[in-house]
Amino acid sequence: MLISCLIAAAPLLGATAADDAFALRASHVHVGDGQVVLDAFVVVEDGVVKSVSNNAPRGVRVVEVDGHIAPGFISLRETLGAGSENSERTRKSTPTADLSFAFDPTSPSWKGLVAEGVTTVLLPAGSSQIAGGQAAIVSPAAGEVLKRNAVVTLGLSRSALGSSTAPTSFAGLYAHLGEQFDAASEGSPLADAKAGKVPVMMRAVTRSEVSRALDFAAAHGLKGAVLGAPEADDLVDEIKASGLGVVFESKAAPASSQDVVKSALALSKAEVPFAFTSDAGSQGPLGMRMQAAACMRAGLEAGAALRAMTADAARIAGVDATHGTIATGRAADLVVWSGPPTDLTSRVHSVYAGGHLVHSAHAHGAHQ
Amino acid sequence: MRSYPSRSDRRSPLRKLRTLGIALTAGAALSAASLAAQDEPDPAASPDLFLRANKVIVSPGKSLDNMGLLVRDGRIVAMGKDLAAPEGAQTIEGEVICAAFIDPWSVAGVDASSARSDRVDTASRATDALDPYGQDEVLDDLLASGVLMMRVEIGSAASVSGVGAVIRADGATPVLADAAISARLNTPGLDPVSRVGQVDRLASALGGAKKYADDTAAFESNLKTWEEEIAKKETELTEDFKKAKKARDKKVKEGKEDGEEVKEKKYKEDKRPSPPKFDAKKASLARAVGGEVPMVIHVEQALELRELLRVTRPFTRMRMVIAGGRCALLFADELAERGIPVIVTPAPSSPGGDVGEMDPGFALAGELSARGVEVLIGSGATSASASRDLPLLAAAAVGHGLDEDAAFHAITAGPARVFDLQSKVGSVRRGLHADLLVLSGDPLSSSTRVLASISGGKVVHQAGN
Repeated sequence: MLISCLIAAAPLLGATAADDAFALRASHVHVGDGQVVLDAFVVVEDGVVKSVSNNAPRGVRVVEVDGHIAPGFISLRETLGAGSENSERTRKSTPTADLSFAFDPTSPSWKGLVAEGVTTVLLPAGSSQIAGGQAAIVSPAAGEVLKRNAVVTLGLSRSALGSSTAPTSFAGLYAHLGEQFDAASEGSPLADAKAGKVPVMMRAVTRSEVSRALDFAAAHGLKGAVLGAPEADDLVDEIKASGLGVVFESKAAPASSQDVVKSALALSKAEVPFAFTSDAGSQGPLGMRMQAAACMRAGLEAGAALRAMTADAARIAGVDATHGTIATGRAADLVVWSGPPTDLTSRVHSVYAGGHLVHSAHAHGAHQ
Repeated sequence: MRSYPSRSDRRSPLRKLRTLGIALTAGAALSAASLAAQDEPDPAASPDLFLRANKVIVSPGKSLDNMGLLVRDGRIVAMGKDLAAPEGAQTIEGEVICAAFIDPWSVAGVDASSARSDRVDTASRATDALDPYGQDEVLDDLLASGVLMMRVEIGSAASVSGVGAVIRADGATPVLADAAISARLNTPGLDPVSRVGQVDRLASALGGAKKYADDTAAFESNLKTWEEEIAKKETELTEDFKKAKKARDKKVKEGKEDGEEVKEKKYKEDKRPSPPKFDAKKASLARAVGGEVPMVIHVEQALELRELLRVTRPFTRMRMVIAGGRCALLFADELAERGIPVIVTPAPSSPGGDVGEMDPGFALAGELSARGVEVLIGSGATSASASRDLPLLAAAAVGHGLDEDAAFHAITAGPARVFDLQSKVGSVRRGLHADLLVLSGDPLSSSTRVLASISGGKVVHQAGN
């Protein structure tokens, strides 16, 4: 009980100190795009990163941290605490649905995810809908919706097909979806997706599902990513040519996906951006890091693994201007690790979201 | 039936002779030599293997710099700084050499329906369910991840699931056929009274097995006494035959004179002690009660664990191992004092899961270890492929407070010790079986790659191959 009280109190504690500017000094600052700045100061002002440099800032409180600073991780699917609010059951198509309504900032399960260094999540529609609506980007630690109508979610896998409700076949699915895109009026979510203003996230699992999704995206000029695609390694050239990214579904339980490991290595080699989901509801708060670590044990570079959980994830979700890297003007979503951020043996010392200290391992010392 | 290496092979010479005698009289196809050689690594035409690394982790927390290792006929035959590769030897170099990872709680290599079965009992054997062909892909993945050995069990739906084995991932071959007896007190959805009832049933089964063992021991002792007595009588009869005959003749004569019939003394042979009725289940469980094999009990919740610790106190020789134990922190002191290890499965479930607030999640291993409990880390026998993530689970435990050496112990020397294989595997020493890994860095680091896996002296995986 004591522990949960401390966690609940954490954002309040942070809030008092957040108005004034401060700086964190660490031996390693992982920018998120692959760069690492040694012995650097990260200056934070008004919840935003003001600068990253080797020179000590003047007139700012400096917090020396023992370890590595990295951007908070970004999960490109997390429905924790959404209940079933993220999926409309009776209608296959609700393209204008705003998924930020499904966000429950008071859900106690978020704290576990934040404690593992995840500060930003994308809350998409369920994969049983064809056009389930517009995903929201939220900050679970701050309890805020960061961006509404950020990504258009499309369900193009078998799980979007009904047994007695239309569509019951892929032919029917694409006919229906094609009509919707063609008929989309100016300013509607699907029209924005068609114009490339809003990225899409298309769930497709098997090879043929992915191929069809790539064709559909090309035909309608869609940008964004395929969600799923565990066997993306078989379609590397096609995916590369499409300009789309891939979001792998994390699998921590009962085991990391070996297909995803192979595909992540292949995409990394071909320089196709990819990211992961966390799915903490079913995989636990560590699922995303476990899947990334499984890829690393098979040869994925630590820098590529970090990019997948930060900069590339932000790019795929269209929020790279504000999130995913530690650079001037980006949100101060920072995690202090005891070692390299992608290493499972590293511990989370503290987590900042929007410049607020939202989690500190010290406050959790109760067990030890 | 196939015969696998088991504990009986390494018990007293007398037992060994008896085992051999049975095997021979039963006309078993195996020769005595091959039976004795069962647990030896296959030396079949394996050329020498030479390994070199900047760091050799001999045992958790103890390492030597810049060492060469010579492997011959499945064993480590030499180690040294100045050791050079013999001519013709295959050479593999890396940054670190360490003992292969051992998953102390797994179903990899075991037929999936046997693993989930509820139709098993204390006498069922995991070696009867090995499935090297149906699971070859999973086993290959294990070789690539460095998990070269597993303690497997069957019957995850049964309350007591019989004799588990330690097997090599390479071909699912047994290293020890009778590694442990396993039981579980974790049936979901039961009310508290039934949950306690489960513990009581286990306790009475243990009690029954103990009585069976006591009766068997009493029988063996009585039989011995009887055999000695008979032998003595026979000697007497042979030696004093004439005297005895004279005495009897006299007795008969006197009897006739008195008109009485002479009662012959009943021959002692009729009073041969009888053994207790054979019961395979009790006999099997008795081995755990007597401490010959460890007893692994899967228990997660506080109620069951508290009852279990209470009812097992009289079984002082039993070597209990707790598997799961998400609430084990509540009993850490007793577990430490009684020397009961816990196989922790850093489960993905978050606090607030089915065990509730008491589930410390990934921090369990570190906190138990800090309280003096020996921690092993296992994949939890939920799926065969889960064993592949064993080094990740150990790393995650480090990331949540477990000491790095303790985490390494938890997947190498720890399981080897608990399942009585420390004289064969789990560390890197001359004379031990060559079940080793050649790595590009520290064993648990996420950026480390397994460059080569050596199982019983055989190179079973090499990176890039």
